[in-house]
Amino acid sequence: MSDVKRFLPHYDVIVVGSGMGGMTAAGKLAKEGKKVLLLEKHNLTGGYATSFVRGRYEFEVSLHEACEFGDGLDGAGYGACRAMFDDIGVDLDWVKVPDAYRVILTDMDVDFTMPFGIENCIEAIEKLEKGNGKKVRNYFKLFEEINEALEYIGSCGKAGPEPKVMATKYSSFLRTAAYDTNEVNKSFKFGPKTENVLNAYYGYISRHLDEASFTVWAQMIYIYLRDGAHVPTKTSHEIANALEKAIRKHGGQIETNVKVEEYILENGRCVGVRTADGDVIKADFVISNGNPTKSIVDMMDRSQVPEEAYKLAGARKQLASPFLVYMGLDALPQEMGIDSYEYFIGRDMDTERIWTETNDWEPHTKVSATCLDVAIPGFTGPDRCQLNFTTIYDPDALHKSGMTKYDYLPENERFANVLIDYFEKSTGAKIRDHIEELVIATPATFTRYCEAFKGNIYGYVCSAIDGAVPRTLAQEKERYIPGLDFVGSAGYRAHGYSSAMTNGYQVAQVVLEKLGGAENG
Amino acid sequence: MAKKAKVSVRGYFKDLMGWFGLMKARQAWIDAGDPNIDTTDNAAKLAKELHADAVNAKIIKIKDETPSTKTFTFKALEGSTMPYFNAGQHISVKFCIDGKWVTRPFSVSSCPRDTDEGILEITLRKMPGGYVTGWVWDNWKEGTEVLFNGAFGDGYWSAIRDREHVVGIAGGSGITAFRSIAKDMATSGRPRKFTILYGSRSQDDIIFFDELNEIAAASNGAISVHHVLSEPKEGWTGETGFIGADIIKKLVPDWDNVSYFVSGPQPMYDFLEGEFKKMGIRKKFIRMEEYGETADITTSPLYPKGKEDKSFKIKVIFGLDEQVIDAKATDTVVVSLEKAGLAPDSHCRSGACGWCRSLLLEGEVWQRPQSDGVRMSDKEHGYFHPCSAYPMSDITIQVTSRL
Repeated sequence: MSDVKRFLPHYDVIVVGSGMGGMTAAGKLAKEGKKVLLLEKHNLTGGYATSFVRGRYEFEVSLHEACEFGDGLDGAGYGACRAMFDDIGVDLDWVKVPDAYRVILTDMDVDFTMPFGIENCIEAIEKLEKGNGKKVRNYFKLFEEINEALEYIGSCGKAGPEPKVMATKYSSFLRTAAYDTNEVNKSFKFGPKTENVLNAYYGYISRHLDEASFTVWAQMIYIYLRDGAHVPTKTSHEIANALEKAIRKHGGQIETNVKVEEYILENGRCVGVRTADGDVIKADFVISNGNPTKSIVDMMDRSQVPEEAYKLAGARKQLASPFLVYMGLDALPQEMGIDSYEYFIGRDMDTERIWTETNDWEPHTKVSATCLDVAIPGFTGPDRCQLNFTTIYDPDALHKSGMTKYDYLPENERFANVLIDYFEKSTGAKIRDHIEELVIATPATFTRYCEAFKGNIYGYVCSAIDGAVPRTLAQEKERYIPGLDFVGSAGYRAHGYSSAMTNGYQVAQVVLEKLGGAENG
Repeated sequence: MAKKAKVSVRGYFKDLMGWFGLMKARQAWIDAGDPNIDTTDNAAKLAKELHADAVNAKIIKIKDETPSTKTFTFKALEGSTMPYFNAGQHISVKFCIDGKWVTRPFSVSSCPRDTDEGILEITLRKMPGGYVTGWVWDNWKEGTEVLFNGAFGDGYWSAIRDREHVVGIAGGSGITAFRSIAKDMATSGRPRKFTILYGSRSQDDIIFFDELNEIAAASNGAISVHHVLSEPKEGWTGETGFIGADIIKKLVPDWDNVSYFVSGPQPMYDFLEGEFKKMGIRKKFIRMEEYGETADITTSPLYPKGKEDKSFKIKVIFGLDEQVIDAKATDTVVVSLEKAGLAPDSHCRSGACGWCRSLLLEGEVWQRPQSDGVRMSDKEHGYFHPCSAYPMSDITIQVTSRL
C-alpha cells in the first residue's frame, strides 16, 4: 500500500460504517457544519441498502419496504423519514407498494391479502373470520394510543414526559410497555386465522413474538398498515447514492475500502480510530454503525471500558441472520402466476415453533418472498423480473452447524430447492423453469461484505426489556464509552430501514448538542 | 378522539406496575449478563476460506503446455490460506512491474480440492506484445512469490439454474477453466455430463490435449472432448472451421437440452451470440462470463469514432491526495491509472464486477457496453467502472483504493 495522505489528522466526527444509520448521522452532522469523515470497509456505501448486477438483472439486496416515506398527498401523513431526508437534503424518487402483504398458511387453508388503511384491514379481517373485525378495531385503537404516546414522549425533549399526562392520557401505553407482543395479543382472544395473519409481519421485528416488545410492534405495524410503505425507483442502492450526494454536498468526506480495526480510547474516552492500513485518525466524537458487541470485545482496549458494558452485551441476544435466494426470471410475473409484491408463507405463523426450527441450519418453510416487478412493473426488464426469498435463522445456527467450505455450494442449493418447491406449491406459481440467474446469500455473505457479526443483519433481540423505550430511556446511562455512540440496527429504535435511519439522525442530534451545537445554524 | 382501547393483559394493576418496574428490571437483566463473550464467528471464517483478501504464494512448478502456454503451480506460503473455489471461478493476480502495480484476472485451471494441499494453478498463453504475459515469461521462475485475491466470478455450474449436461465451448486459452471443471467432476459430480468443444488454430495450439483425453477416458462417459481447428496442419481428421450452430448440432445430439458455457476471446462471443439466436437457445442456458479487457478497443464497432488518437488529462482524487495524469482515449481509465503508478484494486477488468467503481466528478467517459455491470442508480449519480471505461474528455475522478 502506498503511504498517500488520505485523511486529515482530526475531524469533528468520524462515522464508522455506512449503513443507513451511519449515513443519516453523517448527513445530519455534515449539514449542521461539522467536519465529518464517513469510513466504509466495503467498496461502496449503503450497507445492506444496495443492489448487485448479474447478467441482465439488477437485484435489490434487502429492502422490502421502507416506512415513513409518505408524501402526504394520498391522505396518509407526511412520513417522518421523508421529513428527515428533506432536512438533510436527500433527494430520490419513491414508489408506494401495492398491498401490505399476502399471507399463505399451508396448514390452515389461509390465503389472505392485508390491504393498506386501518378501516380496510378491519374489513378484510372481518371477512376472513367473522367476529374478529371488532376485536381488531380495538387492537388498532390501542396501537393508535401507543403511537400518540410515543409522539408525545418524542416531543418532550430533555425534560421528559410528564408522569401525570402519561398516566391520564396514555395509560394504555404504560400498561403494555413492559410486555412482549404475544402476551398482549393473547389477551385480545383473536380467532386462530386472525391471530396468524396479524402475526405474519413479525419477521421484521423479532425472531418470535414472545421476544418482541409490544410497543415496538405496535409502532411498526400501525404506521405500516395506516400509511403504507415505499420502495425507491432504482433499488435501495439509490438511497445510499442519494445520501452520499447529500453528505458530500455538505462538505463531508466519504472513504470506502477503509476497514477500521480499532476504536482508540484514552482515559476511557473514544478519541479516534485506527484503520487496517495503519492510519490513526482522531475525532471529537466517533459514531459506530458496527455491531456493539463485536466492537467492544474485539476492537478496543477492554481495560478502559466499564465492565457493565460487557454485561449488557452479554445479556443481549444477536437477533437474526438470513438465508436469501435472488432469482432472475425470464418471464413476467403474471406469466408465471406471481401476482403479489410481498408474500409471507408458512405452515402457520406460530412464531415460537418457527423459531425453534430456525435454531438449526436446515431448510425451513417460513419464507418471505418479494417480487419487485409487481410494485414497479417493468423494473427488471420488459420481458423478465426478479423474485427473492428471505428466511431467517438464529445467528448461531450456521455458526454451530459445522458447515465446511466443501458443503457450502451444494448445501445452499439444497436449501434453495426446498424454498422454490414450497413457493411453487403454496402459490401455484411456476418459476423453476424460468430461473436465468440465481444468487444465494448466507450469513457468510453478509460478514464478507458488511462485517455483519455472525451474519446478523438485525441488531439485538428487541424484547420488552430491550425495546425502543427502555433503550431510549437508558441512552445516557448506557453510553459506557464517552465519545462513542452506536447507530444502525443496534440503535435505540432497533432495526429496519426507517428505524436505522431514525437512529442515526437522533444520535446526530445528541452528538451535535455534545459538540456545542450547529456551526451554521 | 373516540373511546379508548380496552386492554388488560395480567390485570390493570399488574400491567401498570410492569411499566414502573421496567427500568429496574432492565438493570437487573444487565447485572445478570455474562461479560465473557465469545466472538468466534464461523460465518466470517467461511467467508474468508472462500474469498481471500490477499494470498501470498510461491511458484513451485512451471509446466510448458504448448510453445506459447505454461501452467504455473502456486503453493500458499505459511500464514496464507489458499482459498477454496468453485470450478470455473477466477483469481485476480497483482503484479508489481517496474515499481508499478497492475492486476490481471485468470481462470483457475486446477481442481478445487487441490487447495487442501495449498495448491492452485493458472495457465497462461503468452500474447504477442502482451505487457503482463511478456513480463511473466521473463520473470516468473520456480520460487518466485506471487500475490493474488479471490476467488471470484459466476462461471460455475448451478444445480438449480443449469441443465445436467453442460457443453463447454472454449477458444484458445479459454480452455483453462474447463480443465478445472473436468478435474472437479469426479468428486463433485458438477455438472453431471460435460462435453467440451475446443476451438484452436492448429494442432500445436491445443492446450491440455493429452490430459483432457485422459480425464475423459477415466470419466465413464461423463466427459467428452471434441477439437475444432481453424487452420489445421496436415493429417487432421477432426472438425475444422469455427464452432457454430452446424458443428454444435453435429457433435451434440441433445444440443437443445443442454446448458452452454462459453470461454474464449470476444469475437467468439460475438459470433456465438448470433449462432445461439439461430438455434433458439434461451439466454438462461447460455453463460458467457467475460473478464479481461479488450486488447484493442478501436476494433469495437461501438467505440466512439474520432477519439482513437486523442489524449486527455485525468485528475485523480484519492482521499486528500490529488494528482493529474495523462491518459489515452484508447486506454481504460484503470490502465491509465496503472501506468501512472496509481493502480486501484481491480478484479474482473471487464466492467462486470464493479470492484473498481469510482465517481466521475467532471468530464465524460465511454463505458464499454458488453458486460456493463454499472447499476441503474450509479449511472444517474456519475459512478462508473474504470476498468472498462475510456476517457472521452479531460476528466476528474474520485477513486477508492490504491495498491
